[in-house]
Amino acid sequence: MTVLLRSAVAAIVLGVAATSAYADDMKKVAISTIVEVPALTDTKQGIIDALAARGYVDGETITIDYQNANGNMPTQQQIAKKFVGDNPDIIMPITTPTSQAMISATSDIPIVFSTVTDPIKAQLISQYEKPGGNVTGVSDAAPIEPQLDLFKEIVPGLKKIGFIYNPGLDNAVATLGWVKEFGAPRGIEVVESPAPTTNEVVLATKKLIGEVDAIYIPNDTTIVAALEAIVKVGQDVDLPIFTGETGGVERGAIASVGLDYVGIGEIAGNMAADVLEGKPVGEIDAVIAYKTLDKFKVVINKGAAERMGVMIPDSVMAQATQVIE
Amino acid sequence: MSLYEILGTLETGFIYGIVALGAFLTFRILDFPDLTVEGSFPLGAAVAATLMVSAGWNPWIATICAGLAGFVAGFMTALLNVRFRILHILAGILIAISLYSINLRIMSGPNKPLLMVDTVFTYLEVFGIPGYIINAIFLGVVIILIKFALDAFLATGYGISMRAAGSNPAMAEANGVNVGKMKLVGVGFANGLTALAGALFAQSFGAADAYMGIGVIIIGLASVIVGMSIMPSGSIFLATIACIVGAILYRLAVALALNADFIGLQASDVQLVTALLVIIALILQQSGNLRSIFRRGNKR
Repeated sequence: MTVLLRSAVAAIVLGVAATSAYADDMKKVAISTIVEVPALTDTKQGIIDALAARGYVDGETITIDYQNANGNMPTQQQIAKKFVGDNPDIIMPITTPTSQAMISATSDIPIVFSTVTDPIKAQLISQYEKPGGNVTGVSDAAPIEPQLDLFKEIVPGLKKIGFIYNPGLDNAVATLGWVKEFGAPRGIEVVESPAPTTNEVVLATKKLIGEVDAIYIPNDTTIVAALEAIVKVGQDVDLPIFTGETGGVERGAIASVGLDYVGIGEIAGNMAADVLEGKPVGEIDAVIAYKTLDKFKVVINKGAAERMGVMIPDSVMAQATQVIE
Repeated sequence: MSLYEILGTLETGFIYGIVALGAFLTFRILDFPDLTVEGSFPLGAAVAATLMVSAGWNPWIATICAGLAGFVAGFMTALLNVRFRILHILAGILIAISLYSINLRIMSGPNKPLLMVDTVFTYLEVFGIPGYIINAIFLGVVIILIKFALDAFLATGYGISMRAAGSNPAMAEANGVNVGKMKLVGVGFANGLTALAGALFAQSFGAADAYMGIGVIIIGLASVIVGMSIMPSGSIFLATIACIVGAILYRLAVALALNADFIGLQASDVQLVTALLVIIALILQQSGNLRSIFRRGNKR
């Protein structure tokens, strides 16, 4: 039992030392993410950059406490408790579960989330405009609108777009809704072709031949697993294949538009700066990143386009941030 | 470390203490290395969250149903092992990976938020004590009740048969104990506890998530081993206390690691620091023996 006592004392001593490491006069910003992957570390970098641009520099004018849960939910939970106990001026969770843990832990400290796909479904906020309470933030919903615009520029006669998806997947069904919603005002009609398992993907692709002007492959693991097979069908019958994720372009799709996560972090960082300057967090509109961002990751696969009988216009090439030959 | 953080650490420690008691039952009592928990923990979270959010059930009933679902999961693992002779570790892995898909089906998605529904913790507000205090007290009471229930169960004739089935199956079988049945019930119970912990954790976390199970088996097992090493004992009464103490120490190690950034550690070092702290705790525990070794050395 003495060991217990000893470790408890050590815990408290270390803890007190850690807490006092915060300088009292500086504002405190607490950032956390569930795991370190490029999209999330980019978001964090964007936050830090934007704060610095507004005069909030870590170690000079503010103290930033960054914690990463190493993919561990209980650790994430403990980070939430630690943050609330440290009472920072703002908490900035990155990803959905991180945000949920923070919101569950405090309803007082301002929270600005980022890189959350659907904050309303995740119950972080109930509306984008002036969400109220102590929470606002930035959604990283897929940039469907810029994607459709780009596809239409590449295939000018795009009237009907095929959509292959697994109806059992939440995000695929959500994406279908968005493509329908944003396609309608652009004169694009969606033709659904469900494939509940990877084995049915080729059949689902062939069903669309002659029916559509191009095919959209959402970020759906079931379908993306057979992307090469879809690309082959597209090459055989000169049917352009597009993906919802830029990774698919490297695997043979023609083009896609992706989000710049540093940019997402910058939006959140600016919101945080507003909060530090005294603006009530509930009065800051939450935003969908692609609607406010002006630069995107535009990836074009020239070789794939040729093989599907499509000429990439120069205006599109000019937008490309990455070209695969 | 603030009071808020200490109580938060205890809260998480108590919840994972329930997992540790489950691990104690499988690994120590039944000698059944059960990996199902990696799936039954999020199963409990998923069942409770879906019943509460989609079906509008009372959180207490939803939490109990989560425990029952966990029992079924553990029972299936033991069934694969006992009835179909599939290796226990593989049986656990098979059920755990299938639970991943099942959990996605139950929640119809990877994440089910609980931020806008009443949870069991909402009911505690009637006491008028701040949430961060009453939640920790409540979970402390829950785990002590579970501990005593488990102690009492293992002291009954049935429980003693179960212990016999784990420590010497051949002898137990010869004395008329149905070893297979003991495994079915025991592994079922252990996973029921794990799922119960999952349901409570989801409600305290604010969401059920398909990825909640990552590392549960390691945490549960580490808690049992740390507890047992620090408080070695032959009695069940002390052993179950040791499991809970182990779980709390493990969370304390994580909390320390989270607060260790001032000595130049990075946020991503948390896992390493946690492991080192557990190792140090285990070595410190042996320091008594160390000292006696030195003393003997001096005398010579």
